[in-house]
Amino acid sequence: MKKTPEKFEQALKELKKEIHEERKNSRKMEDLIKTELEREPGIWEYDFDELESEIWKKHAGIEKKIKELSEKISECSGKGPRNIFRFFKNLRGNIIRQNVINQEIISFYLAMMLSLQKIKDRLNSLEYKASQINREKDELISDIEEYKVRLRKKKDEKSGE
Amino acid sequence: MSDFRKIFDHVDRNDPGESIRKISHDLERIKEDKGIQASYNDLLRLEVALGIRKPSVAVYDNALHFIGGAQKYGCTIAQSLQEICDVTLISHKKVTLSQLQDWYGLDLNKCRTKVIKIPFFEAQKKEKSTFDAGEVELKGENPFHVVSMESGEYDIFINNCMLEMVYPLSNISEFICHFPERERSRFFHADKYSHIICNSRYTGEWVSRKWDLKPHEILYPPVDMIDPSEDVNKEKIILSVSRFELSGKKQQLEMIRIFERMLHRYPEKTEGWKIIIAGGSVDGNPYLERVRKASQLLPEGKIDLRVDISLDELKELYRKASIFWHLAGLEQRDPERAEHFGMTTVEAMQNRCVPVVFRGGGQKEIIEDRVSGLFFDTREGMINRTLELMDSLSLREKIEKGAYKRGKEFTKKSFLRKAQKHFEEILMGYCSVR
Repeated sequence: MKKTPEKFEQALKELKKEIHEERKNSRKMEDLIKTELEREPGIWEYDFDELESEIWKKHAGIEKKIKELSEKISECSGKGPRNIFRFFKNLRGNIIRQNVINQEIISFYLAMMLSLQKIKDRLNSLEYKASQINREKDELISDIEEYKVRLRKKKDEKSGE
Repeated sequence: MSDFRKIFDHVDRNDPGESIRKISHDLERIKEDKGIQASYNDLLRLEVALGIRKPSVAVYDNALHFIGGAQKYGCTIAQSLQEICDVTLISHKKVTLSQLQDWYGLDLNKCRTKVIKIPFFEAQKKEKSTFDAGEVELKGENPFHVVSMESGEYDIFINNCMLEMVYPLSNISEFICHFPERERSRFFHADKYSHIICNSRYTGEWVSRKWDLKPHEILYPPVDMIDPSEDVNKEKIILSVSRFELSGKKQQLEMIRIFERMLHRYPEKTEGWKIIIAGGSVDGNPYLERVRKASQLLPEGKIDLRVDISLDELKELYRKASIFWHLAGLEQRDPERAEHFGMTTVEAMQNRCVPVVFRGGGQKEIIEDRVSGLFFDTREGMINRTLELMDSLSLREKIEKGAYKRGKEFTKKSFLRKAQKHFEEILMGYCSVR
């Protein structure tokens, strides 16, 4: 049974035909796609929840330290405000010191990452050169081996005689 | 609220005129913001979400007219989707469904085939059965634009030939990678696909290293060569099954030399053993000629070259052989020259052949050393592992069992289970309104 144009499906079909025609006439990729679709993260991209639990697992001692710290705070708060202030003053000093160390470590790691990247690039180009040499070497070995076998066969034939 | 959700909310079957007017208005806005393809894609998705038609899927493989493991991989995915989707197999040259069914033993009766010619390659004077995307000039227009345009006609576009130069325009796009052959170039678009599926972790690692992309799924190829009969009389045969590649990367020539050395050095231990080298080849293959010449240097009856044999003959060889050799990757630095997965190794394992293979590439993901096979790193290592097996029937029988058990983990059934799960999850999100 033929559907009437009033039917939704039919109207949608006509609209699709129209857009399809327009799409067909768009020759350039820029007209077809103005914004790209976002890729989903791959299986080897970091899952941050997993990463966090891994870090906690590796540094289980930190959890203990936090517990000790909270116990210390409650202990100090029991002895009056002066003790709490002293405790936080010390804590602040420690945090500032730690922060300086962290910043130094960050710049150290960045420098290390950059040099590693350079090493990686160098290794890649070396690897490429090595594979070329290797291929040539293989061909050479292959010819030598063939020669050896022929020689051995000839020798066997001679000794057989 | 997403664009698609807004469009979906305009649907009112009781008032089609007003409904279409609103949808059309929204699509016009999407076209201005995101381009005509985005508005067309929303319309395609609307049809599926409203149940007007099944989702459409294109499996693109420019070498579909050739028998190959990668092509079997794509066709098996097509088979797994044909019940719930309209599947079209797109190729560069004509191939019939019955040919594909015969080659791979698959039921593809609900699929369609389509040929898309690439003008760039059609213009080349020499007649070639496949084209090499590496020949593409990186100046001017992308010759694969015609395939990209076609991809935008489907809900899901599956690129099964690692052709990273095809820009996917469909709502969902899957890039199946059997190995990243080329470097990133001006026409590199593998990063535009919704998902990257790799045939092994090894390939995945190289996708990551070469293209700086992270794969989404590792889907080992389907291997169906299981011989269920328990009572098998194994003979003193070393078997190798690989294509005779023009580049010689499967190293059949080296196998002959190694076997010749074994015969010469250990005449007693190798007494009664022979090697059978089987594989497919193109006509006039100079590498095959070199292999033939080298094989003539071995004593009579010690070597058998079997080129382009039938599936039944191959099954018979697997059934009889005791040891399986695979050398690809030995003494090679180029990662491409290692086995990316190792389908024939699995075939051998499914037939209780003990694999003695190079410890590299995808083989490391298949075999557990000394449980389901033996690894070697050098020629000497290969000789020693083989002699070990020749010497000890009990060791051979032990590993035979392990190999058979492990080989059953890479069947078509497990491939289909994983592929179906992947696509069902995608389709579930696609058909629902979010």
